[in-house]
Amino acid sequence: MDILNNVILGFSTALTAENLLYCFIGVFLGTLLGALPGIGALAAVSMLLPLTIGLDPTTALVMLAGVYYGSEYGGSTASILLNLPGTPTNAVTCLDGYPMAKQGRAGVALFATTMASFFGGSVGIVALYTLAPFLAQWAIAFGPSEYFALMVLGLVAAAVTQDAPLKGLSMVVLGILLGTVGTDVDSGVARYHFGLFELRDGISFIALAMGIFGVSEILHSLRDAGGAPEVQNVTLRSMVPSREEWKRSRMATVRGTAIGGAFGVLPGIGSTIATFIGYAIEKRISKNPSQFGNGAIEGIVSPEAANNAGAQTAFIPTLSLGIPGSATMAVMLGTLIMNGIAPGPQLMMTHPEVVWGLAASFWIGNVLLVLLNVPLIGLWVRLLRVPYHLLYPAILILICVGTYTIRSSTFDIMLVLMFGVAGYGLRLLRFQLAPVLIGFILGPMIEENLRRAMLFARGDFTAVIARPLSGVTLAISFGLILWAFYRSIRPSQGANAST
Amino acid sequence: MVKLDKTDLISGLVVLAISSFFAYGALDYRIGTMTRMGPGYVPLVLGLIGMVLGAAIILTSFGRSGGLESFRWRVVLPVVASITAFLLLLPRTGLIPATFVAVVVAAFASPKSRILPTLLLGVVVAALIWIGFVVLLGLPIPVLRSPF
Repeated sequence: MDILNNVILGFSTALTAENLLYCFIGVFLGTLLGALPGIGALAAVSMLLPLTIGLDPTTALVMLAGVYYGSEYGGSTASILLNLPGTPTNAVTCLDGYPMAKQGRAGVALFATTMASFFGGSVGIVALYTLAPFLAQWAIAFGPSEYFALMVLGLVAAAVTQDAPLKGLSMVVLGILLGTVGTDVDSGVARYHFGLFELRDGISFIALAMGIFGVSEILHSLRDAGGAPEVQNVTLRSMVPSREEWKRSRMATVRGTAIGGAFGVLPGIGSTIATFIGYAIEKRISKNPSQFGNGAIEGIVSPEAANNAGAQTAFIPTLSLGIPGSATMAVMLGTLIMNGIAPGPQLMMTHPEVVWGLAASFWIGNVLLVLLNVPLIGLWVRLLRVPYHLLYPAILILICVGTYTIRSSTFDIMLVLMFGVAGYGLRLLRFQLAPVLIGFILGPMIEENLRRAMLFARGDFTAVIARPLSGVTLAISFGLILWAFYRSIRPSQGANAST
Repeated sequence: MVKLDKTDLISGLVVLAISSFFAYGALDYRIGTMTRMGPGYVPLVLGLIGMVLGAAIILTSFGRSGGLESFRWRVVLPVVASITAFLLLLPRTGLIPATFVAVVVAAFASPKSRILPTLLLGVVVAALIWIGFVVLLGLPIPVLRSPF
């Protein structure tokens, strides 16, 4: 069977000593960074990306994937112990995780999230192995019109699911525009280079990611940096859940996994929404909903399972279509492109070892996560006690050195600085920045596909709409845009929904 | 008094300004036709879309009230100075002095920083960065250089 072959190929790739080592390093460093306040998965992945330079592309991706779910996990640790969500995805975990910690049940909460994450992640990986080849096979027949339409849908979906959809759409547009800087592939004309030689190659996406997620995050977090946070001790013994807690979290984990897995596949939506839906459903079907917000274990396991299942299934569109489901996925694609591998449905044919090795390493990484985090919880707790004013200068330097090593260019550090300050300004104006990066990565591909589609259709845009798949996809995107405008015109509704 | 969401008003203006800049800049490049798009086509269209979005955000900012978060110069300036110092010093003095100076300058962004711990932090971070990136990873970064 094909799937079996893929599994075998995957595990034989992932289980080499080198890949295992880098997977471990990735998971370890990812958890470390994710546990720090203000560093989410995206910032962690972009900060550690320089470490993968010179590695074999599979190894590089294996390590970054390890960083990705390691930091998600570290983020949930910080949410539970400190009520400081590292990422929006972890925000839901705070609702019941922090009350549990205050009741002295932090150990149980941490153990339950580890297990729920592991279960969700494992199911997500099975889905990845079974669904991705079919999707890729189907997608191989896609022409530029279909690609153009699917990417537009991905971008629109990423934008309109934000609190303020019009602002989300503007950030996507800004991202694509930033992506047009540099030499145009078709004509060789350098666009928006301001006479700067360095900009002819385009803006380095690492500089952009580090600026808007690294530096601007530090600037934003410094707003309310307190002293050393109070963190309670967590012992291994305190992590064992009671029989009742075990029973209550079992089905909640399964439900969260199903929700997360389904939502993660949708391009652009990602797992954040799935965690909210998972939480809402648990609250609705619970016999005593008043417990939610006061330390209900269902309220943490379901979102965490959803988050991790979604984190894995988000790789399905990323690896089989080349369309990233989230900004973190966009960074992963950027890494592939940097290594000279073109993402898209042909990826499974041309580089099966990359795709399946990566998928297998997800599972190994999830096992490592459990093995690492249960015994090492004491270390993470100690790390959370380090006051922020001793951390942020070090993070800042890490960002600068990391950016510099990519192209040995101080110009890129300057870009980081500019994007950092601009990103901070945009944050103050309550813009979401993840769509910028998705737009930036997808922008050049969208432009290329649009141009090719128009060339084939002799400039007749109706030809794109007339093709069934691209027509339907564009219609959905258009509907979402209309909905975005409608939601913005009725602000009172939107304000209520967001609370 | 007219109700106005200042955050959204400024947001819209910012989007409008950036989009107009790109749309105007696109006119410098060949626009081309629908069939054969020139390098200016896509940026022009996107700039126009962005301008529409910016205008729409400005329109929605009326009719509801909202404040504006202030830009914290006391946090931003030290961080800007720190990164600038790093990128200027790196090619001239090498990694270790650049890191040390950047850490110390960055510390000014937090009122909690004290002189001795900050200097110590600078030494520790410089050492760790040197060990991590140069010794272990072997990346070609100048470590120590005389500026003269």
